[in-house]
Amino acid sequence: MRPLKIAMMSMTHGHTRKYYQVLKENPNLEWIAVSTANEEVRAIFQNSVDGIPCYDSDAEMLDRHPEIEAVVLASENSEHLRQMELCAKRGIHILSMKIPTFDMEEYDRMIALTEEAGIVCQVELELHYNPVVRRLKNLIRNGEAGEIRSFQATNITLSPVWAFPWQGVPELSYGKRVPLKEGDPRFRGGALCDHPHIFDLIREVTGSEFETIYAAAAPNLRPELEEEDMLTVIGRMQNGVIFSLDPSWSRAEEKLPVPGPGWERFPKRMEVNITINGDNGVIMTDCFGPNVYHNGAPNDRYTVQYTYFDEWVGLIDEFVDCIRNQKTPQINLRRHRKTIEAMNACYESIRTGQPVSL
Amino acid sequence: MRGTVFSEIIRKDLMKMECQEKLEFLLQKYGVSVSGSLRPDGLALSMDGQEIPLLPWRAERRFIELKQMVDSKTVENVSVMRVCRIEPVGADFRRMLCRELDICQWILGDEAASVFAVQAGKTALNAAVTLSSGVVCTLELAATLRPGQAPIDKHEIISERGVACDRAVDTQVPQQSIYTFGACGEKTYLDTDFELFGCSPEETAVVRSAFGLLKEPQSAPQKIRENERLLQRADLILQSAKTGSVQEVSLCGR
Repeated sequence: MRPLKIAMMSMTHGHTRKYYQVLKENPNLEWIAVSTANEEVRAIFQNSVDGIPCYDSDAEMLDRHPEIEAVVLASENSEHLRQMELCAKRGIHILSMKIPTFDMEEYDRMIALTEEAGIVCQVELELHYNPVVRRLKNLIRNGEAGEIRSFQATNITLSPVWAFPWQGVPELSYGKRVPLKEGDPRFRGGALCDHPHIFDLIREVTGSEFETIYAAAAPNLRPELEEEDMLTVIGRMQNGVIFSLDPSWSRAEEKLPVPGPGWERFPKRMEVNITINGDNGVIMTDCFGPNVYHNGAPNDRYTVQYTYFDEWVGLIDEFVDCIRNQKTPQINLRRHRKTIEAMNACYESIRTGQPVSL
Repeated sequence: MRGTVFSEIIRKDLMKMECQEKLEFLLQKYGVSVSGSLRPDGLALSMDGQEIPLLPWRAERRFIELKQMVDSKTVENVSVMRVCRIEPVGADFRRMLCRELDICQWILGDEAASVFAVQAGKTALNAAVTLSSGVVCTLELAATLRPGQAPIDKHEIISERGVACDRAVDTQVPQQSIYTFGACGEKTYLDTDFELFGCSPEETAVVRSAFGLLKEPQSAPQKIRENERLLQRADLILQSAKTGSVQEVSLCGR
């Protein structure tokens, strides 16, 4: 298979650096260039990666490198439509970050323009390439827990806003400035916008869609943020499975401008745990554990050092396979739409204080 | 049992004594003259012809320490408390709700103001409980273990300053003090109380809770009032699960 000529845009997303190793090492890829959103981002990138041309605008990069076949949109949520339009016009395949947009009219525009252009548009939900999740799906398929009755999950992290400021700006994260609820000084765009994975996984694991969602925003751990950072979501799927989802930023962090050692104040900076209760028993899953542990440099603080498999390897393998063999990715825009709808329903429930039916 | 000589009690094999006997042991040892009989489920004590609810989990060391962390501001400005409890098939959800809701309310020193819950038959129940302070508690309950399996639970307090939890980071199930791997397979042991050696942590809590009440019988009316308020709120959660609607705790119920 000839290597896919791939580029990255913006470089402002928290997952940007996750791509560096796979783009350099995967023999099915040829990393052509990046475009960076600003000088600061450019400097950070050039400190991390050598030998990849760097441009100040997306259009300039694509003009200078017409050989580019695919792009990773490593950008703010608010940039995705513009970048998708740019790529679709040129027939360039797209790997989008996990939230294409929360505006459903924009979302449908994205579906239309990518389908009309005949390009592959894959959404980055890397948990599908996690070996623990693969095992969990097998166990469920094999009836280990029997008929599923409840799905409990956490998708919790530290807050990335100090390193990726756009995630703390409602207009850039949620797409517009919408108050959480009357009398609340906070706006949509916080932790919920960062954590779609469990809203997606529950659909696949239960084989069903959301029926009722109730969400409650709790007091912020970070009073200086103008978005929510703590919330709880419970509800029911159409097939009767009940759920409890926690998509919070509940793990405290040091306010580092560039992520690195010492970022954690809570030992484990990211957790996705899933508990399935069924007629035949219980499955309890830690998608990112166990690990190794230390309390050395830089802060002499007890810290979890992750040992998990790099999910971006499998994610990129699927992306390349879909492009080269004209397939539709498992996580595509059409499939992902209901996940985004459910996340919007959470915000609506917080606003009204009532459950929302989908 | 009353009137048995203390020295004869301590020569018995304490590990085989039922909770009532262990309670009698403590009463005699510490010269407490008031007597009472434990209900078999350990949730109430008969005293002077009246049945007094015990709320025994309040005597479990781990919850005492979690409460102490909140009261002393070791963790400060609580935002969320998350609890989960999985018991064997057939477990009663009203009882589980009372336990876990009271653990949240007692540790945080607050009470539920509104609740929303969903239930899947006799298998699982999830509830979001907003306390009067705005703190949100999530209760995840299930009755899916095999008969005889020990309950699995977790209690986590998330605050602006710190997280407190009765489970270690990167673990999912309760840890034990001793693990043996021998000819009879794997066995585990968790011993938390020397005086009541042989009691499980939950049995220890029942005995200590009853002992505390018998030492201070004047606390009985307060226990009764607390239990009534707890039952009201637990029933509201069940009502919410039944109707699919948010239930507000009425002002007269506060």
